[in-house]
Amino acid sequence: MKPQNQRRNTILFLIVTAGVLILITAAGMLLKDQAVQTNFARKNLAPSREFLFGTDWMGRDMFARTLAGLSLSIRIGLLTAAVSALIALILGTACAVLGRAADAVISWWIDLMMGIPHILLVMLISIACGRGFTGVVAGVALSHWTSLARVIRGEVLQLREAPYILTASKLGVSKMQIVKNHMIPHLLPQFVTGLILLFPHAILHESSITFLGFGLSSEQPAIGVILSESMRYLTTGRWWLALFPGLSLVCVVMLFALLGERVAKLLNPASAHE
Amino acid sequence: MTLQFASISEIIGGSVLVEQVFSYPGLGQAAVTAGLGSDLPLLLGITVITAAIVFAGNLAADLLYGVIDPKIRRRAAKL
Repeated sequence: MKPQNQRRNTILFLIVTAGVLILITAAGMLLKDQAVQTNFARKNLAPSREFLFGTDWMGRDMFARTLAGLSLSIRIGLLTAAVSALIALILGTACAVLGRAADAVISWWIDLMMGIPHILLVMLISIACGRGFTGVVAGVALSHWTSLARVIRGEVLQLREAPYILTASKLGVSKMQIVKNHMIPHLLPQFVTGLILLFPHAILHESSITFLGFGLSSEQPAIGVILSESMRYLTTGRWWLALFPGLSLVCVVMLFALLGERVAKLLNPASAHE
Repeated sequence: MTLQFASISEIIGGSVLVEQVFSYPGLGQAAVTAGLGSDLPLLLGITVITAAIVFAGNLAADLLYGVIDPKIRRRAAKL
């Protein structure tokens, strides 16, 4: 059998995965009205051909509700991951470029934030911002940057001694120009990989925080709210309320993680030719 | 081994969720109740204690390295 063209397979896989995720997001946005439509005549139905995931205690179609919830969670995850990654990029490069005092201060700050357990940190920040939607988004966005910042700081510290950077600064290019034109293109593969790998983390943390009761109300169904409300009904035997949303959350998170791994393999110049 | 001790913070984070699901009365559930009821002193106190636990864990990892790896012991003695 001919050896597979690994790069073509990876790009195909990337397109399919991204397509599935975009489909879920769009479908959720379209189904939003259907998801909150209650109809008490059809409550507590087990999964059947008409209602793929069953209905809940208010008669809402669980399939539409799960999709809407997934799409909201994905959108929140994207927003918070983007903000976190941006903060990480700025602080990571500032660390290595601005001199020793800035490096000491920012490293101390990173160690401080990494010393507190992550969920506690998100809880603290979301309470400080008032609970609810802004609280959750602010909490998740402002606490995920630490590991990525550390990675970027290491990379930039190593990069500072590279010959072409030293030549540029000897030729009189200002520091901002060096950062913009030479360092950021070099960091881009790792940065994009870190960004994509932040999504599943952000989605999981957002759903755990809403599960604990800190965030969105039940009118805006995010997966955390759906799961926490369905916990009450597990003991009465309505297993479909929790199983399907949970499974779909796991699948989405795994898809994102796989996507991140493949993108990392593709963009890293050392492994792109395997 | 350093990695194992460094994930002590994950244990505390996980306990918050698990205790909420299974209703075990523990530090995790206390943290959630404090947060939901906006009991700030309790929440800050729990944060300080968990940070101390994480610090103690990492310190233990450092000391254990000295015990296990004779090269580090020799270098520390030379200093």
